[in-house]
Amino acid sequence: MIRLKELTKVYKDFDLNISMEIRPGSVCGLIGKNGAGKSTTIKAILGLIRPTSGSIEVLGKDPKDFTAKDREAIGACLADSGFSRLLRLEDVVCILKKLYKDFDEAQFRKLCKEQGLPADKKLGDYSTGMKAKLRVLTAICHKAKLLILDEPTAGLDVMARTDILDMLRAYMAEDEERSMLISSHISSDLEGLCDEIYMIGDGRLLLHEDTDVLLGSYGIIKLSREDYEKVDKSYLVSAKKQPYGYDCLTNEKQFYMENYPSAAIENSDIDSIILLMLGGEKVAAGEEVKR
Amino acid sequence: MRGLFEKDIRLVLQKKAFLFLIMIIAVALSFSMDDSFAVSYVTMIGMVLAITTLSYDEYDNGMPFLMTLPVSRKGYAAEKQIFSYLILTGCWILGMLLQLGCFAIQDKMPEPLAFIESSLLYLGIFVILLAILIPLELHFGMEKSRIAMFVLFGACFAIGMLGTKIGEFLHIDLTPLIQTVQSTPAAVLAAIGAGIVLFFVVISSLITGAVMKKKEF
Repeated sequence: MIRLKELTKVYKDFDLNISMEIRPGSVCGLIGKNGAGKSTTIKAILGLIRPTSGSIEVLGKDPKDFTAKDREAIGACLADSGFSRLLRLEDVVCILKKLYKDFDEAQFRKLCKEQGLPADKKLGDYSTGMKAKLRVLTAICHKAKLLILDEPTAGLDVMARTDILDMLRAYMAEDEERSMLISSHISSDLEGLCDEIYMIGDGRLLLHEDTDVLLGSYGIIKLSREDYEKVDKSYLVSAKKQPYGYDCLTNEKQFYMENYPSAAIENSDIDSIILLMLGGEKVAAGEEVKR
Repeated sequence: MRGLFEKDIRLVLQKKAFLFLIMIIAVALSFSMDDSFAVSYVTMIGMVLAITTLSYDEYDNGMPFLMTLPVSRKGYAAEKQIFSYLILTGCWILGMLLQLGCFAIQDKMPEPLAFIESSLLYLGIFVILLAILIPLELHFGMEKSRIAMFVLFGACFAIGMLGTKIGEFLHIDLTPLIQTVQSTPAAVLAAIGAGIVLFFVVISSLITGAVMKKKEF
């Protein structure tokens, strides 16, 4: 569905260098702190920016060669960009009807009603949550094969975020061939939605792992300085100095549970993995970070 | 492209009240102004409306989203050009109808050929202006395009002034040229005018296409 091969994009104060692949039927999360390069990656995939080098293939084509018809197979949602604030929901329906051959008007109207999007208000008067919901509904209303969503839940309360994630889950459940790339800096949103996670920081890929593996095999080991010196570092991904010693991220929690039964080992969530990946140092004897 | 037309029509329709007000002003002033005021005024408003749809696309960072819709960059550039000239022509026709209405009320119908000639001249001028403004607006964006426009027109004015001064300095007499133009049949002048307008439209569409091809969002 999507293949990025050594994609680079160089700006004055930032450069992106990333490779990734999203297979048909998979839901991929792109996670990283603000300014990590998530939006730049998504813009490159959507053909909104030109890469400095490397190649991009989306649905078998370079995005720069996309025709209008090619774009019908993609549902996109950008964090801070949408229809003009002067338009109303009825205007949006009429526009989408003319843009997409497979626009499902009845379903779109039904979902808009369910999500409480007012038909008589201008989009400029919508709340942040309403605007975000409309952006997502616009992306999922035309039977797209591939959804590309940049921070669809940013700045929303927990209820609005849940609504959006539920809509996405329902959409993906309708057809197994559909794929989705979703970026977020809210890791809990991705944990329950994605099959695999790409973690990026400062424009580089830090980690690519199945979500199940990330949540099941990864763990945090809290070690004193003396224990840290002695411990087998074969499965330590990174370590961060703490007042009491070290917090170590491992990708083989079970190994340390079995061989160091007295060590304090915690389950890791994506946030704590990010903290250790970005704030810690790579452990020399650890395994390759990449899968 | 049909979706973009729909969007732009709906955006222009947001200005219904403004358009109605413009028509009232055009009619009111037509009684005291020269014979083609309503034509030039309403056509100019058409140009402003066309450019406004470009500004609306850019407003609130809307362009990246529009470029994710089933629209190619080339298609967007073409739609903008076609829509802008259609709006301009529509307003020009409206201006002519208003002007004729005013003439009818005042019971002073103009000589038809002279009226059509002057109206076509206004259409040509505003088409050329629009042809310049569309790529400027797309390339520089809402704010910077105004500065670019002032710089461009300032440069044109400066070149004109410089040309006049050089002409005076070299004692070039333009009278024969003016006489030739005056003696040229109207049909030939109209054809030359149409050619100039077409030249601007073609160059503008080529530049607009190139701007959109290179633009990053």
